[in-house]
Parts: sequence; C-alpha cells; structure tokens
Amino acid sequence: MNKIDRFFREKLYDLVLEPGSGAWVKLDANLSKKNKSLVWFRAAAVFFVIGLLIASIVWLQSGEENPQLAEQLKSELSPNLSSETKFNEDSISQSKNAVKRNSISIAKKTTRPRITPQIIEEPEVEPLSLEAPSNETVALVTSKEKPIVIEYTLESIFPQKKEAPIVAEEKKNGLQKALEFAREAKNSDSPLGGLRHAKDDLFALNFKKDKQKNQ
Amino acid sequence: MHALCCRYIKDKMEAEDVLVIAFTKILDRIDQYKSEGSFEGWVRKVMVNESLSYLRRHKNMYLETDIEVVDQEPNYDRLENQLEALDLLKLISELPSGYRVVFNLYAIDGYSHKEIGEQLGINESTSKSQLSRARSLLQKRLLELDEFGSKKSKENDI
Repeated sequence: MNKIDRFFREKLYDLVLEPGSGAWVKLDANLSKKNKSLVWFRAAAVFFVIGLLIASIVWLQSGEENPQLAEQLKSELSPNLSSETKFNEDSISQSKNAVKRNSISIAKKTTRPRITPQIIEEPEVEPLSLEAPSNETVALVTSKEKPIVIEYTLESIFPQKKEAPIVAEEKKNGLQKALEFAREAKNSDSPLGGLRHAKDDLFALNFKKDKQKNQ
Repeated sequence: MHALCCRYIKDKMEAEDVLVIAFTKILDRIDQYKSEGSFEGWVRKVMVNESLSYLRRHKNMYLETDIEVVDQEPNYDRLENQLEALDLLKLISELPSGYRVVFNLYAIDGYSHKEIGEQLGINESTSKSQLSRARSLLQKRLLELDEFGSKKSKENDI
C-alpha cells in the first residue's frame, strides 16, 4: 500500500464526527413524512379493495338474479306445465269474453304477453284455476246463471289490464276526443247527429210553410 | 458516517444533507440487509453510494488539471504527530472533486480501480490517473505542512 494512502487511511477511516442537531430534526421530518405518505397509500389501497369487493358483489348478485328469473320463467313455461298454461289461456279467453260483455275493448296483441307472466307470478290464481277447472267450465257451459264466479277469477288477473286501456282512453281525452266527437256528429253516428238532422228537417218544413203563406 | 460524507463532499452542510438522506434510506431498506457482511460495512456502502450519487447529480466530479510530479516525500512519522485527523480531512476536502472521490474510494474505503470504474462510470485507467494526481496534490500539501512544521519547531528550539 502506498505510504500516503496508509497515512490517510489510518487517520480517517475510523474518524467520528457528530452531525449538527439540525440533521436529526431533518431525519425525523423525513421519516414522519414517509410514514404519513405510507399511511395514506395504505388507506387508499384499502378503500380501493373495498370498492372493488362491493362492485364485484353487486355485479355477481345482478348476474345471479337474471339467470334465476330466466330459469324460473323457462321452468314455469316448460312443457311440464303446458296443461296449466293452456288452461290459463282458456281462462284468459273466458275473461276476454267477460270483459267484452262489460264493453271494455282490449287488444289481443297487448294483453297476451302481459297476461302470462302475471299468472305465473301470482301463485294464488293458479291453485284456484287448478282446483276446480271442471266446475267452472261446467258452470259456464251449462248455466249462465253464475257469471259472478267467472268475474271473481278475472278480478285477480286483470286489474292491471283494465287500467291500461283506461289510461289509453284518458290519453285520448282532450283535443282528440273532441275531434272524434265532431267527426261522429258530422257522420250522424251519434245521437247528436240525429238531433241535427231533425233540426234541419224542422227548419226546412218551417221554410216551406212560410213560403206557402207568402204565396 | 458524517466524517465519511465529509470526505466525499466538500461542503459540510451538503455532506450533512447527504448523511440524512442516506440514513433515511438505511432505515427504509433495513430489511434488505443480508447478514453476509458486517452491518457497518453495509451502512458504509450505502453512505458512499449516496455521496457518489449526490456528486453525480451536481456534476462536479471530474476536473483534470496537469499537476507536476512530486519526487520528494514528506516525513510521515513527524506529520502524524503534527497533524490531527481533522487537518487531513481538510486537505482532502481541498482536492478537486474527481480526485477526492477516487482517492477516498481507493485509499481509504478500499475499492479497487475496477469497482471505482463501475461506480463512477469511468475507465480503470481514468481512475488510476485521477488517483495518482490526487496523491501528488496531497503529497505536495503535506510537504508544505512538513516544512512549515519543521521551521516552526526550529524557531521554538532557538
């Protein structure tokens, strides 16, 4: 080893110098700063993970609900229960007749798809229709004295169906209704049209009478 | 460790800042210490690396000047009695940055020229030339101090 190197090494290698008091303050500040940032980072990470968990749980639940509904619908509309559905359709057609009797018009296209899920969702209706189907049909066919029974079964099925056309009618109110009324009056389909014709005839008769008097 | 930083970095306050940064890193990465070597050696290495990175950031490392070769050698035994460690530290801090770093690494901290070349990103030959220039400068300064000391002792004897 070089002499000068050894000289410096012997003197300086183990030299101890105390740093100023400011150094420890700086070190403390540095460490606390790092700790704070670490705490924030950890808190952010925890919140992120919790958020992810909640989102995944919600997503999974929504994913599970839809297939269940689909399976329910499929199973209930499956061929095993085709007799039930047929019977339901029969009951629907019966109810339609009843509704027609009450002068409420329901479009077939709109009612059919709505009715079937409702009947499926309401299990109360199915036992009723299953328990005594033959009795009801017999009652319908043999005697028309008990239409109340049929109406009772329909009440549970059609409250919503009835609302829809009423709402549609309500929507027609206003200008459209006035126009329709005017058109009917013009075509003399309504009772007012008949009155108008009667009025015209009366006026014509009076005019003839006046003319004859003047002559 | 403060003395180590002072050997590499001329300004005492800057050396203190480097010391603080290095200590913060040591406390952060204490789990990275593998008990292969001594803990003090690991701490020293971190300190040296931090000092070098500080010098690299400030780009005041290499200053090559032509220095005349000093043939005469000082009397080290006499100087050892005359000079304290702090005086030697002052001599080192007066060296140009590049010389100071290479001299510290090679002469005091025991790095080879290959390791110095890898640490500083320079050739081994550059490291050697820097070291020889550092030695020449220090030798010159030590001779001056030796002459000054011998003159002073002679005056005291008279």
